Amino acid sequence: MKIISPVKQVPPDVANLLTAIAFAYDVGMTRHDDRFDIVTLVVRAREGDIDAFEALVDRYETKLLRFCLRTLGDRQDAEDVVQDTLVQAWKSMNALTEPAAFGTWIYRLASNKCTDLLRRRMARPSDAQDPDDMSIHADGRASVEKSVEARTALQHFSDVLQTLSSEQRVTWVLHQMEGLSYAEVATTLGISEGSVRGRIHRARTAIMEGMEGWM
Amino acid sequence: MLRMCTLTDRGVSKDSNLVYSGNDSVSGNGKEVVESARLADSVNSIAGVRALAPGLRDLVATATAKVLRRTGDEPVGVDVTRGGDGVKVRIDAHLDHTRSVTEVVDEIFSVVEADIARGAVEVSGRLDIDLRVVSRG
Amino acid sequence: MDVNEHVGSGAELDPMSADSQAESDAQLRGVIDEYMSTFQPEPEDTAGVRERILQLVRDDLYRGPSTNLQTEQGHPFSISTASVRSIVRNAVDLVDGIRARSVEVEPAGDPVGSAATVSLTVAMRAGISFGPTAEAIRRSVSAEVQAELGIPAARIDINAEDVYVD
Repeated sequence: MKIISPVKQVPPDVANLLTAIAFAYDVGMTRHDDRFDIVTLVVRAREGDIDAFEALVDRYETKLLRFCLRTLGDRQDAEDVVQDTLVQAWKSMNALTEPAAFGTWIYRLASNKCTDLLRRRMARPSDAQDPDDMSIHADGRASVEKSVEARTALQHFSDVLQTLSSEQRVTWVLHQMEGLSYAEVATTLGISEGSVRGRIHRARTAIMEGMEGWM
Repeated sequence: MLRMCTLTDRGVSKDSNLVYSGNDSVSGNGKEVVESARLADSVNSIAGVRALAPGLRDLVATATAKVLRRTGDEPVGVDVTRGGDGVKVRIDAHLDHTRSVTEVVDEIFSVVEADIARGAVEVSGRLDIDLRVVSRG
Repeated sequence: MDVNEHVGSGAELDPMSADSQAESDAQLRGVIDEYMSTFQPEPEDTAGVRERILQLVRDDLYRGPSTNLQTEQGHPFSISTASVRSIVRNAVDLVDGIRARSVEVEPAGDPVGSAATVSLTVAMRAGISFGPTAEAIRRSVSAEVQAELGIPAARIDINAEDVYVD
Protein backbone atom coordinates (compact mmCIF):
# COMPACT_ATOMS: atom_id res chain seq x y z
CA MET A 1 0.00 0.00 0.00
CA LYS A 2 1.29 3.38 -0.88
CA ILE A 3 1.05 6.03 1.80
CA ILE A 4 1.42 9.26 -0.07
CA SER A 5 1.98 11.93 2.53
CA PRO A 6 5.36 11.92 4.24
CA VAL A 7 5.83 13.13 7.79
CA LYS A 8 6.08 16.89 7.61
CA GLN A 9 9.04 18.64 9.18
CA VAL A 10 7.09 21.86 9.84
CA PRO A 11 6.24 22.16 13.55
CA PRO A 12 2.46 21.98 14.14
CA ASP A 13 2.16 25.50 15.55
CA VAL A 14 3.77 27.04 12.47
CA ALA A 15 1.59 24.95 10.21
CA ASN A 16 -1.53 26.10 12.07
CA LEU A 17 -0.43 29.72 11.84
CA LEU A 18 0.11 29.42 8.10
CA THR A 19 -3.30 27.83 7.73
CA ALA A 20 -4.91 30.61 9.77
CA ILE A 21 -3.25 33.28 7.63
CA ALA A 22 -4.27 31.50 4.44
CA PHE A 23 -7.91 31.42 5.52
CA ALA A 24 -7.89 34.97 6.85
CA TYR A 25 -7.09 36.25 3.37
CA ASP A 26 -9.47 33.83 1.76
CA VAL A 27 -12.74 35.49 2.76
CA GLY A 28 -13.51 39.03 1.60
CA MET A 29 -15.76 40.01 4.46
CA THR A 30 -16.21 38.89 8.04
CA ARG A 31 -18.44 35.88 8.15
CA HIS A 32 -20.85 36.22 11.01
CA ASP A 33 -22.06 32.70 10.42
CA ASP A 34 -18.69 31.38 11.55
CA ARG A 35 -20.16 31.45 15.04
CA PHE A 36 -23.60 30.09 14.26
CA ASP A 37 -24.83 26.91 15.91
CA ILE A 38 -25.05 23.76 13.82
CA VAL A 39 -28.85 23.69 13.67
CA THR A 40 -29.00 27.24 12.28
CA LEU A 41 -26.30 26.44 9.72
CA VAL A 42 -28.02 23.26 8.54
CA VAL A 43 -31.50 24.80 8.31
CA ARG A 44 -30.10 27.67 6.27
CA ALA A 45 -27.89 25.48 4.09
CA ARG A 46 -30.72 23.19 3.10
CA GLU A 47 -32.65 26.22 1.89
CA GLY A 48 -29.81 27.30 -0.35
CA ASP A 49 -27.69 29.49 1.95
CA ILE A 50 -24.30 28.81 0.43
CA ASP A 51 -22.47 30.85 3.08
CA ALA A 52 -23.95 28.65 5.79
CA PHE A 53 -22.91 25.56 3.86
CA GLU A 54 -19.41 26.99 3.51
CA ALA A 55 -19.27 27.38 7.28
CA LEU A 56 -20.23 23.71 7.65
CA VAL A 57 -17.54 22.71 5.18
CA ASP A 58 -14.99 24.74 7.16
CA ARG A 59 -15.94 22.93 10.35
CA TYR A 60 -15.87 19.39 9.03
CA GLU A 61 -13.60 19.24 6.02
CA THR A 62 -10.26 18.78 7.75
CA LYS A 63 -11.58 16.17 10.16
CA LEU A 64 -13.20 14.25 7.34
CA LEU A 65 -10.12 14.45 5.18
CA ARG A 66 -7.95 13.13 7.99
CA PHE A 67 -10.39 10.31 8.70
CA CYS A 68 -10.47 9.31 5.03
CA LEU A 69 -6.69 9.53 4.72
CA ARG A 70 -6.28 7.21 7.69
CA THR A 71 -8.90 4.80 6.43
CA LEU A 72 -7.93 4.71 2.78
CA GLY A 73 -4.20 5.49 2.93
CA ASP A 74 -4.35 7.39 -0.36
CA ARG A 75 -4.56 11.16 -0.73
CA GLN A 76 -6.40 11.25 -4.05
CA ASP A 77 -9.00 8.72 -2.91
CA ALA A 78 -9.45 10.59 0.36
CA GLU A 79 -9.99 13.92 -1.40
CA ASP A 80 -12.48 12.33 -3.80
CA VAL A 81 -14.47 10.82 -0.94
CA VAL A 82 -14.56 14.09 1.02
CA GLN A 83 -15.62 16.03 -2.07
CA ASP A 84 -18.34 13.50 -2.96
CA THR A 85 -19.51 13.35 0.66
CA LEU A 86 -19.94 17.10 1.10
CA VAL A 87 -21.56 17.62 -2.30
CA GLN A 88 -23.94 14.75 -1.57
CA ALA A 89 -24.68 16.34 1.80
CA TRP A 90 -25.63 19.60 0.10
CA LYS A 91 -27.93 17.88 -2.37
CA SER A 92 -29.65 15.62 0.12
CA MET A 93 -29.71 17.76 3.24
CA ASN A 94 -33.47 17.52 3.37
CA ALA A 95 -32.99 13.84 4.21
CA LEU A 96 -31.40 14.86 7.49
CA THR A 97 -34.35 14.89 9.89
CA GLU A 98 -32.33 16.13 12.87
CA PRO A 99 -30.12 19.10 11.94
CA ALA A 100 -28.24 18.70 15.22
CA ALA A 101 -27.03 15.30 14.02
CA PHE A 102 -25.19 16.75 11.03
CA GLY A 103 -21.76 15.67 12.27
CA THR A 104 -22.77 12.05 12.76
CA TRP A 105 -24.59 12.04 9.44
CA ILE A 106 -21.60 13.38 7.52
CA TYR A 107 -19.31 10.79 9.07
CA ARG A 108 -21.76 8.09 8.08
CA LEU A 109 -21.83 9.28 4.47
CA ALA A 110 -18.02 9.34 4.41
CA SER A 111 -17.72 5.95 6.12
CA ASN A 112 -20.05 4.34 3.61
CA LYS A 113 -18.09 5.76 0.71
CA CYS A 114 -14.82 4.58 2.27
CA THR A 115 -16.23 1.10 2.79
CA ASP A 116 -17.43 0.94 -0.81
CA LEU A 117 -14.07 2.09 -2.10
CA LEU A 118 -12.17 -0.42 0.02
CA ARG A 119 -14.45 -3.22 -1.17
CA ARG A 120 -13.87 -2.27 -4.78
CA ARG A 121 -10.13 -2.19 -4.13
CA MET A 122 -10.12 -5.63 -2.56
CA ALA A 123 -12.08 -7.00 -5.48
CA ARG A 124 -9.21 -6.01 -7.77
CA PRO A 125 -6.16 -7.98 -6.53
CA SER A 126 -4.18 -6.95 -9.61
CA ASP A 127 -4.16 -3.43 -8.17
CA ALA A 128 -2.42 -4.55 -4.96
CA GLN A 129 0.53 -2.31 -4.23
CA ASP A 130 4.08 -3.54 -3.94
CA PRO A 131 5.27 -2.93 -0.35
CA ASP A 132 8.55 -1.66 -1.80
CA ASP A 133 6.55 1.25 -3.25
CA MET A 134 6.05 2.55 0.27
CA SER A 135 6.92 6.18 0.48
CA ILE A 136 6.59 6.75 4.19
CA HIS A 137 9.57 8.68 5.41
CA ALA A 138 10.63 8.17 8.98
CA ASP A 139 11.77 11.01 11.16
CA GLY A 140 15.09 12.02 9.66
CA ARG A 141 16.58 12.82 13.01
CA ALA A 142 16.50 9.21 14.24
CA SER A 143 19.51 6.98 13.81
CA VAL A 144 19.74 5.02 10.60
CA GLU A 145 19.25 1.74 12.37
CA LYS A 146 16.25 2.89 14.34
CA SER A 147 14.67 4.58 11.34
CA VAL A 148 14.99 1.40 9.29
CA GLU A 149 13.26 -0.50 12.10
CA ALA A 150 10.56 2.17 12.51
CA ARG A 151 9.84 2.31 8.80
CA THR A 152 9.47 -1.42 8.56
CA ALA A 153 7.11 -1.72 11.52
CA LEU A 154 4.98 1.14 10.23
CA GLN A 155 4.97 -0.26 6.71
CA HIS A 156 4.04 -3.64 8.05
CA PHE A 157 1.25 -2.15 10.11
CA SER A 158 -0.16 -0.59 6.95
CA ASP A 159 -0.02 -3.97 5.24
CA VAL A 160 -1.83 -5.59 8.16
CA LEU A 161 -4.55 -2.93 8.04
CA GLN A 162 -5.09 -3.84 4.42
CA THR A 163 -5.94 -7.40 5.37
CA LEU A 164 -8.93 -6.29 7.44
CA SER A 165 -12.35 -6.38 5.86
CA SER A 166 -13.56 -2.96 4.77
CA GLU A 167 -16.15 -2.88 7.56
CA GLN A 168 -13.58 -3.83 10.19
CA ARG A 169 -11.14 -1.26 8.95
CA VAL A 170 -13.60 1.64 8.88
CA THR A 171 -14.98 0.68 12.31
CA TRP A 172 -11.52 0.30 13.80
CA VAL A 173 -10.28 3.65 12.45
CA LEU A 174 -13.37 5.45 13.79
CA HIS A 175 -12.74 4.01 17.24
CA GLN A 176 -8.96 3.86 17.54
CA MET A 177 -7.97 6.90 15.52
CA GLU A 178 -10.97 9.22 15.42
CA GLY A 179 -11.52 8.50 19.11
CA LEU A 180 -15.23 7.72 18.91
CA SER A 181 -16.72 5.56 21.67
CA TYR A 182 -18.42 2.27 20.80
CA ALA A 183 -21.79 3.98 21.13
CA GLU A 184 -20.74 6.84 18.88
CA VAL A 185 -19.35 4.45 16.27
CA ALA A 186 -22.61 2.49 16.38
CA THR A 187 -24.67 5.65 15.81
CA THR A 188 -22.38 6.84 13.04
CA LEU A 189 -22.48 3.59 11.11
CA GLY A 190 -26.10 2.82 11.90
CA ILE A 191 -25.26 -0.57 13.41
CA SER A 192 -25.64 -2.06 16.88
CA GLU A 193 -23.01 -1.59 19.56
CA GLY A 194 -22.65 -5.36 19.62
CA SER A 195 -21.67 -5.34 15.94
CA VAL A 196 -19.15 -2.60 16.67
CA ARG A 197 -17.57 -4.64 19.46
CA GLY A 198 -17.45 -7.70 17.24
CA ARG A 199 -15.75 -5.89 14.38
CA ILE A 200 -13.23 -4.19 16.65
CA HIS A 201 -12.43 -7.42 18.42
CA ARG A 202 -11.79 -9.23 15.14
CA ALA A 203 -9.77 -6.30 13.84
CA ARG A 204 -7.65 -6.14 16.97
CA THR A 205 -7.01 -9.89 16.89
CA ALA A 206 -5.89 -9.70 13.28
CA ILE A 207 -3.66 -6.71 13.98
CA MET A 208 -2.08 -8.25 17.08
CA GLU A 209 -1.38 -11.47 15.22
CA GLY A 210 -0.06 -9.62 12.20
CA MET A 211 2.21 -7.40 14.29
CA GLU A 212 3.62 -10.26 16.35
CA GLY A 213 7.39 -10.15 16.17
CA TRP A 214 7.36 -6.62 14.77
CA MET A 215 7.09 -4.93 18.14
CA MET B 1 -47.02 44.05 -34.40
CA LEU B 2 -48.87 42.53 -31.50
CA ARG B 3 -46.77 42.55 -28.35
CA MET B 4 -47.55 40.66 -25.18
CA CYS B 5 -45.24 39.87 -22.38
CA THR B 6 -46.25 36.74 -20.58
CA LEU B 7 -44.73 34.74 -17.82
CA THR B 8 -43.86 31.27 -18.96
CA ASP B 9 -42.58 28.36 -16.96
CA ARG B 10 -39.09 27.23 -17.54
CA GLY B 11 -39.86 23.84 -18.95
CA VAL B 12 -38.15 23.01 -22.19
CA SER B 13 -40.24 24.51 -24.95
CA LYS B 14 -40.69 22.81 -28.26
CA ASP B 15 -38.84 25.75 -29.78
CA SER B 16 -35.61 24.46 -28.34
CA ASN B 17 -35.79 21.51 -30.69
CA LEU B 18 -34.66 23.96 -33.33
CA VAL B 19 -31.36 24.23 -31.53
CA TYR B 20 -30.59 20.58 -31.28
CA SER B 21 -31.80 19.15 -34.55
CA GLY B 22 -28.93 17.50 -36.29
CA ASN B 23 -29.61 19.11 -39.63
CA ASP B 24 -29.29 22.67 -38.40
CA SER B 25 -26.60 24.58 -40.15
CA VAL B 26 -25.22 27.78 -38.77
CA SER B 27 -26.96 29.75 -41.47
CA GLY B 28 -30.27 28.01 -40.74
CA ASN B 29 -30.65 29.61 -37.33
CA GLY B 30 -27.79 32.03 -37.81
CA LYS B 31 -30.16 34.95 -37.63
CA GLU B 32 -31.24 34.00 -34.14
CA VAL B 33 -27.65 33.52 -33.08
CA VAL B 34 -26.79 37.01 -34.22
CA GLU B 35 -29.89 38.46 -32.59
CA SER B 36 -29.09 36.67 -29.34
CA ALA B 37 -25.60 38.11 -29.35
CA ARG B 38 -26.82 41.64 -30.03
CA LEU B 39 -29.30 41.54 -27.18
CA ALA B 40 -26.68 39.97 -24.93
CA ASP B 41 -24.34 42.87 -25.58
CA SER B 42 -27.04 45.35 -24.63
CA VAL B 43 -28.18 43.51 -21.54
CA ASN B 44 -24.62 42.89 -20.38
CA SER B 45 -23.92 46.61 -20.33
CA ILE B 46 -26.79 47.38 -17.94
CA ALA B 47 -25.62 48.51 -14.51
CA GLY B 48 -26.47 45.82 -11.99
CA VAL B 49 -26.03 42.91 -14.41
CA ARG B 50 -22.97 41.01 -13.29
CA ALA B 51 -23.01 38.35 -16.00
CA LEU B 52 -25.30 36.38 -18.23
CA ALA B 53 -25.55 32.66 -17.70
CA PRO B 54 -24.67 30.51 -20.70
CA GLY B 55 -27.71 30.07 -22.91
CA LEU B 56 -28.70 26.90 -24.68
CA ARG B 57 -26.81 27.94 -27.76
CA ASP B 58 -23.49 28.10 -26.03
CA LEU B 59 -23.32 24.41 -26.65
CA VAL B 60 -22.57 25.47 -30.23
CA ALA B 61 -20.41 28.36 -29.11
CA THR B 62 -17.87 28.01 -31.90
CA ALA B 63 -20.54 28.71 -34.50
CA THR B 64 -21.46 31.89 -32.62
CA ALA B 65 -17.84 32.91 -32.47
CA LYS B 66 -17.45 32.47 -36.20
CA VAL B 67 -20.54 34.48 -36.96
CA LEU B 68 -19.61 37.32 -34.65
CA ARG B 69 -15.82 37.18 -34.82
CA ARG B 70 -15.59 36.76 -31.03
CA THR B 71 -12.95 34.85 -29.15
CA GLY B 72 -15.36 31.97 -28.79
CA ASP B 73 -15.46 31.48 -25.08
CA GLU B 74 -17.79 34.26 -24.03
CA PRO B 75 -21.23 32.95 -23.12
CA VAL B 76 -23.93 34.73 -25.07
CA GLY B 77 -26.52 34.37 -22.32
CA VAL B 78 -29.56 35.31 -24.39
CA ASP B 79 -31.61 32.91 -26.45
CA VAL B 80 -33.86 34.15 -29.20
CA THR B 81 -36.14 31.45 -30.55
CA ARG B 82 -39.03 31.54 -32.93
CA GLY B 83 -42.06 29.38 -32.47
CA GLY B 84 -45.41 29.11 -34.15
CA ASP B 85 -46.94 32.27 -32.76
CA GLY B 86 -44.05 34.63 -32.17
CA VAL B 87 -40.62 35.27 -30.77
CA LYS B 88 -39.29 34.29 -27.37
CA VAL B 89 -36.34 36.01 -25.78
CA ARG B 90 -34.92 34.02 -22.93
CA ILE B 91 -32.42 35.58 -20.56
CA ASP B 92 -30.67 34.09 -17.52
CA ALA B 93 -28.89 36.85 -15.64
CA HIS B 94 -26.58 37.08 -12.64
CA LEU B 95 -27.06 40.36 -10.83
CA ASP B 96 -24.95 42.23 -8.32
CA HIS B 97 -26.00 44.15 -5.22
CA THR B 98 -25.74 47.66 -6.64
CA ARG B 99 -29.40 48.09 -7.62
CA SER B 100 -32.69 46.58 -6.58
CA VAL B 101 -33.78 43.55 -8.58
CA THR B 102 -36.90 45.14 -10.05
CA GLU B 103 -34.93 48.20 -11.16
CA VAL B 104 -32.59 46.01 -13.18
CA VAL B 105 -35.46 43.87 -14.47
CA ASP B 106 -37.30 46.95 -15.73
CA GLU B 107 -34.19 48.18 -17.47
CA ILE B 108 -33.56 44.81 -19.10
CA PHE B 109 -37.08 44.86 -20.49
CA SER B 110 -36.73 48.39 -21.79
CA VAL B 111 -33.34 47.70 -23.36
CA VAL B 112 -34.62 44.59 -25.12
CA GLU B 113 -37.74 46.37 -26.32
CA ALA B 114 -35.65 49.29 -27.60
CA ASP B 115 -33.35 46.90 -29.46
CA ILE B 116 -36.37 45.25 -31.02
CA ALA B 117 -37.82 48.60 -32.04
CA ARG B 118 -34.46 49.37 -33.69
CA GLY B 119 -34.65 46.13 -35.63
CA ALA B 120 -31.97 44.16 -33.78
CA VAL B 121 -34.53 41.38 -33.54
CA GLU B 122 -37.21 40.76 -36.11
CA VAL B 123 -40.50 40.25 -34.36
CA SER B 124 -43.72 39.20 -35.96
CA GLY B 125 -46.46 37.88 -33.74
CA ARG B 126 -46.09 37.71 -30.02
CA LEU B 127 -42.99 38.81 -28.16
CA ASP B 128 -42.32 36.87 -24.99
CA ILE B 129 -39.49 37.98 -22.71
CA ASP B 130 -38.63 35.19 -20.29
CA LEU B 131 -36.23 36.57 -17.72
CA ARG B 132 -34.70 34.64 -14.85
CA VAL B 133 -32.47 36.10 -12.19
CA VAL B 134 -30.15 33.18 -11.48
CA SER B 135 -28.17 34.72 -8.67
CA ARG B 136 -27.51 37.97 -6.88
CA GLY B 137 -24.15 38.51 -5.30
CA MET C 1 -8.18 3.86 25.12
CA ASP C 2 -9.07 0.22 25.58
CA VAL C 3 -6.14 -1.41 23.84
CA ASN C 4 -5.72 -3.42 27.01
CA GLU C 5 -9.23 -4.84 26.86
CA HIS C 6 -9.59 -8.55 26.31
CA VAL C 7 -12.80 -9.38 24.55
CA GLY C 8 -13.12 -13.14 24.62
CA SER C 9 -9.65 -13.61 23.22
CA GLY C 10 -9.30 -16.90 25.05
CA ALA C 11 -5.81 -15.94 26.25
CA GLU C 12 -4.95 -16.97 29.76
CA LEU C 13 -4.33 -14.09 32.06
CA ASP C 14 -1.22 -14.91 34.07
CA PRO C 15 1.07 -12.14 35.40
CA MET C 16 3.80 -12.74 32.79
CA SER C 17 1.49 -12.66 29.81
CA ALA C 18 -0.36 -9.62 31.21
CA ASP C 19 2.91 -7.65 31.35
CA SER C 20 4.00 -8.60 27.86
CA GLN C 21 0.44 -7.95 26.71
CA ALA C 22 0.62 -4.44 28.16
CA GLU C 23 3.97 -3.94 26.47
CA SER C 24 2.68 -5.03 23.06
CA ASP C 25 -0.35 -2.82 23.50
CA ALA C 26 1.89 0.14 24.25
CA GLN C 27 4.09 -0.62 21.25
CA LEU C 28 1.02 -1.02 19.07
CA ARG C 29 -0.23 2.31 20.36
CA GLY C 30 3.12 3.76 19.30
CA VAL C 31 2.74 2.37 15.79
CA ILE C 32 -0.84 3.60 15.62
CA ASP C 33 0.22 7.09 16.73
CA GLU C 34 2.97 7.15 14.15
CA TYR C 35 0.56 5.97 11.45
CA MET C 36 -1.88 8.69 12.43
CA SER C 37 0.79 11.36 12.32
CA THR C 38 1.69 10.49 8.74
CA PHE C 39 -1.74 11.63 7.66
CA GLN C 40 -2.04 15.33 8.23
CA PRO C 41 -4.06 17.08 5.56
CA GLU C 42 -2.10 19.98 4.09
CA PRO C 43 -3.84 23.38 4.00
CA GLU C 44 -3.50 23.43 0.22
CA ASP C 45 -5.23 20.03 0.03
CA THR C 46 -8.21 21.19 2.02
CA ALA C 47 -8.31 24.47 0.09
CA GLY C 48 -8.38 22.60 -3.22
CA VAL C 49 -11.15 20.24 -2.17
CA ARG C 50 -13.08 23.15 -0.68
CA GLU C 51 -12.98 25.10 -3.95
CA ARG C 52 -14.20 22.14 -5.98
CA ILE C 53 -17.01 21.45 -3.52
CA LEU C 54 -18.22 25.07 -3.55
CA GLN C 55 -18.14 25.25 -7.34
CA LEU C 56 -20.24 22.10 -7.66
CA VAL C 57 -22.62 23.39 -5.00
CA ARG C 58 -22.93 26.75 -6.75
CA ASP C 59 -23.76 25.04 -10.05
CA ASP C 60 -26.42 23.02 -8.28
CA LEU C 61 -27.82 26.15 -6.67
CA TYR C 62 -28.21 27.88 -10.02
CA ARG C 63 -30.45 25.05 -11.15
CA GLY C 64 -32.63 25.31 -8.03
CA PRO C 65 -36.28 26.40 -7.73
CA SER C 66 -37.53 29.86 -8.74
CA THR C 67 -40.06 32.35 -7.43
CA ASN C 68 -42.27 34.24 -9.91
CA LEU C 69 -42.64 37.95 -9.24
CA GLN C 70 -43.54 41.10 -11.08
CA THR C 71 -42.15 44.63 -11.06
CA GLU C 72 -44.32 47.64 -10.35
CA GLN C 73 -44.22 48.43 -14.06
CA GLY C 74 -45.78 45.04 -14.68
CA HIS C 75 -42.73 43.20 -15.98
CA PRO C 76 -42.83 39.54 -14.90
CA PHE C 77 -39.65 37.71 -14.01
CA SER C 78 -38.54 34.69 -12.09
CA ILE C 79 -35.76 34.75 -9.55
CA SER C 80 -33.94 31.91 -7.85
CA THR C 81 -35.75 31.26 -4.58
CA ALA C 82 -32.38 31.04 -2.85
CA SER C 83 -31.64 34.65 -3.84
CA VAL C 84 -34.94 35.87 -2.41
CA ARG C 85 -34.43 33.96 0.83
CA SER C 86 -30.95 35.41 1.06
CA ILE C 87 -32.31 38.97 0.98
CA VAL C 88 -34.72 38.19 3.81
CA ARG C 89 -32.08 36.30 5.82
CA ASN C 90 -29.64 39.17 5.67
CA ALA C 91 -32.37 41.56 6.86
CA VAL C 92 -33.13 39.31 9.82
CA ASP C 93 -29.48 38.81 10.77
CA LEU C 94 -29.07 42.59 10.99
CA VAL C 95 -31.26 42.58 14.09
CA ASP C 96 -29.16 42.21 17.23
CA GLY C 97 -29.58 38.90 19.01
CA ILE C 98 -31.40 37.21 16.15
CA ARG C 99 -30.28 34.52 13.73
CA ALA C 100 -32.47 33.73 10.76
CA ARG C 101 -33.23 30.07 10.24
CA SER C 102 -35.92 28.97 7.82
CA VAL C 103 -37.27 31.51 5.31
CA GLU C 104 -40.25 31.13 3.01
CA VAL C 105 -41.29 33.75 0.46
CA GLU C 106 -44.49 33.39 -1.54
CA PRO C 107 -45.77 35.60 -4.36
CA ALA C 108 -48.82 37.57 -3.28
CA GLY C 109 -50.81 40.67 -4.11
CA ASP C 110 -52.92 41.52 -7.09
CA PRO C 111 -51.65 40.77 -9.65
CA VAL C 112 -49.94 37.82 -7.99
CA GLY C 113 -46.24 38.42 -7.66
CA SER C 114 -46.48 42.16 -7.19
CA ALA C 115 -46.02 41.63 -3.46
CA ALA C 116 -44.67 38.89 -1.25
CA THR C 117 -45.60 37.17 1.98
CA VAL C 118 -42.73 36.13 4.20
CA SER C 119 -42.73 33.46 6.91
CA LEU C 120 -39.61 32.88 8.88
CA THR C 121 -38.23 31.13 11.91
CA VAL C 122 -35.44 32.50 14.05
CA ALA C 123 -33.16 31.62 16.91
CA MET C 124 -32.97 34.27 19.63
CA ARG C 125 -30.17 35.06 22.02
CA ALA C 126 -31.02 34.17 25.58
CA GLY C 127 -32.47 37.16 27.39
CA ILE C 128 -33.93 38.90 24.32
CA SER C 129 -37.58 39.82 24.68
CA PHE C 130 -39.56 38.65 21.70
CA GLY C 131 -42.25 41.33 21.32
CA PRO C 132 -40.12 44.40 20.52
CA THR C 133 -37.59 42.26 18.69
CA ALA C 134 -40.24 40.86 16.36
CA GLU C 135 -41.13 44.44 15.48
CA ALA C 136 -37.51 45.21 14.72
CA ILE C 137 -37.34 42.12 12.50
CA ARG C 138 -40.46 43.16 10.61
CA ARG C 139 -39.11 46.65 10.01
CA SER C 140 -35.79 45.30 8.82
CA VAL C 141 -37.30 42.70 6.49
CA SER C 142 -39.84 45.12 5.09
CA ALA C 143 -37.17 47.73 4.35
CA GLU C 144 -34.65 45.27 2.88
CA VAL C 145 -37.16 43.45 0.69
CA GLN C 146 -38.37 46.75 -0.73
CA ALA C 147 -34.86 48.12 -1.20
CA GLU C 148 -33.08 44.99 -2.46
CA LEU C 149 -35.85 43.16 -4.23
CA GLY C 150 -38.02 46.13 -5.12
CA ILE C 151 -41.22 44.44 -4.05
CA PRO C 152 -43.29 45.15 -0.92
CA ALA C 153 -43.63 42.51 1.79
CA ALA C 154 -47.37 42.21 2.35
CA ARG C 155 -47.11 40.08 5.47
CA ILE C 156 -44.27 38.90 7.65
CA ASP C 157 -44.82 35.97 10.01
CA ILE C 158 -42.11 35.28 12.57
CA ASN C 159 -41.68 32.20 14.70
CA ALA C 160 -38.98 31.97 17.36
CA GLU C 161 -38.02 28.31 17.56
CA ASP C 162 -34.84 28.27 19.56
CA VAL C 163 -32.64 30.13 21.99
CA TYR C 164 -28.88 30.36 21.79
CA VAL C 165 -26.18 31.52 24.15
CA ASP C 166 -23.27 33.47 22.68
